[in-house]
Amino acid sequence: MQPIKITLKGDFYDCQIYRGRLYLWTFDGALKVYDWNELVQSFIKKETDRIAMTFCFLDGNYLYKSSLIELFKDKDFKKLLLEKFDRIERPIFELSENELVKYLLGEQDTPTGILPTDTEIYSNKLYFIHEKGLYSGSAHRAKSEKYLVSSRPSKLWDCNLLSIKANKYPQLALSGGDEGLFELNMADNLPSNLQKIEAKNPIYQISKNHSSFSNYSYLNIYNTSMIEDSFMALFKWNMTKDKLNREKPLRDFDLNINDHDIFKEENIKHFISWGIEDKIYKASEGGFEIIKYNNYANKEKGEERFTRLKTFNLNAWKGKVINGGTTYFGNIVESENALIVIRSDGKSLTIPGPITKWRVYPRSINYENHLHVILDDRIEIYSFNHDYFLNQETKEIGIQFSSEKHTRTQKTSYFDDPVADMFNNSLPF
Amino acid sequence: MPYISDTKIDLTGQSVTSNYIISSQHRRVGNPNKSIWTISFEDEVTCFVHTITNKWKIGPDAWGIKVIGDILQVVGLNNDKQELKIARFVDGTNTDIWHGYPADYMRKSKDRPSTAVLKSWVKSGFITKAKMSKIRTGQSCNL
Repeated sequence: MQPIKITLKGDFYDCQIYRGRLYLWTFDGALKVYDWNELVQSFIKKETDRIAMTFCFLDGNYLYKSSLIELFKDKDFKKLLLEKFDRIERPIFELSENELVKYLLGEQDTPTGILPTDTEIYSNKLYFIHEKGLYSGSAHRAKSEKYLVSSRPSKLWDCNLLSIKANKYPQLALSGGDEGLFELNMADNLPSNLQKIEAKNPIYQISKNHSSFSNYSYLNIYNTSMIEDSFMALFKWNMTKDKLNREKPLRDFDLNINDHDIFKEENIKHFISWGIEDKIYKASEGGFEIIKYNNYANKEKGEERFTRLKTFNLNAWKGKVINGGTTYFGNIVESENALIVIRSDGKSLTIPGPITKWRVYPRSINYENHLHVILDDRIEIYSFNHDYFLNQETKEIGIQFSSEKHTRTQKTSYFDDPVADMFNNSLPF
Repeated sequence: MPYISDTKIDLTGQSVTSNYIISSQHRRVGNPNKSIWTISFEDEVTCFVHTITNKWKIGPDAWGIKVIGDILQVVGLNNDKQELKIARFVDGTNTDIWHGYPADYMRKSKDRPSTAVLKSWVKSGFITKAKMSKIRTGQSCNL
């Protein structure tokens, strides 16, 4: 089963997808917002392809439903759906810059006028960084608004950050290179044992060690450094009492665990490691090591927090590994010349560079099967659909899909609300 | 006339009003906090003049490159003896008297060139858009 791809031509620099809208930053400094739902619909030429295209590009979550997993145990149902995916593998879905204009909802100068180093859209807000600092402004505004993204974002901090990553609690991990690892904590209950380093905003220093990029693993942050050892910053719930003597849990910092301790090795040569949710990965000369992280390990029962799953040998990349990421459908490893997707079913896909930027959206509601790759003259939007048919508890590559993701508001599926007004009342994140 | 380190160099003869000082701290090995130049005094000054002429500066910070053909050349080494291809220049006292050193953009946030300067390099064909993105995010790339 091959991934399905949509190619959009243009000179792009960054991208985001959020609630039925595709956000593309062009190299010349524009921010263009496209109607993603309409754009995908335009490729559906036969009604019999509608379901597969919708699962691929508009509602990647739907097929993880436990009721459907039961259905797929019937080989006839599974065969029928696989045939539908097969049928849309062959057509070329591509739009030129001129054709893309038809789906344009809004165009504006990129907020602050400087191309962002990194972006996140979270809870209807765009967060972005560049050399002047960290900013946020409203996004996903009504179509009647002059600007669909705030043209006057607020400056939250003046640190020259390298990358940002949001989770759902809600917090934003901030990687500041040699300045260290920080967190913008927008939760109601703030940590009691971390130093707040910004007077006006709840920004806390997690570590002074080097941070290239970071990601959340449950409550914790896995900090990746391209320079020094990477580490996992562990947090724990501290139960306290509020003024009315009610239980008040605080997410307090616990300790940092070095990746040499996690992987139980003493390599002199530096290799990049990264982690998200239940898995931690470390690149090696010819592949990578996989560690399963048990956030709920009970030591009294002999359960280990970190368990080595396997060593994955792969000679798919040449040159230094410079970036890595993980989503449900597999691992994404960026080397100096290519992007390699090691799928959760063990197969791999190599996308030749030069790669300007790539993004996955494992914390989104409908786009967790997407991989967006910005190349020199286009963006390629891949949809991976093999993971629905795998046993989530035993798979070794990729995030395990948990029942927590199913606990959503009623109107979260594209099928429930194709006009993308979902989440208006209750935002899961 | 050969240049002398730690001495103000008048560059008006090279169509630049700024002054430049070759810092001996970035010529000596042994200081763990300082990268060192591997290019000659003349090349360092030429790199600075080229930087100012092309307006690759934002306030008191500027970034330069040494290009032969369209290939970026090594200008120095970091403490781990890794080759560096970007130069950083600083007008530390806001008096238009500059000094410079090889920039270690992966290790030091302040050494990362600004977005506007990198865009200018992409438009001139010195680096690709992909490399600009890697530099901004502190990732390694074959410059």
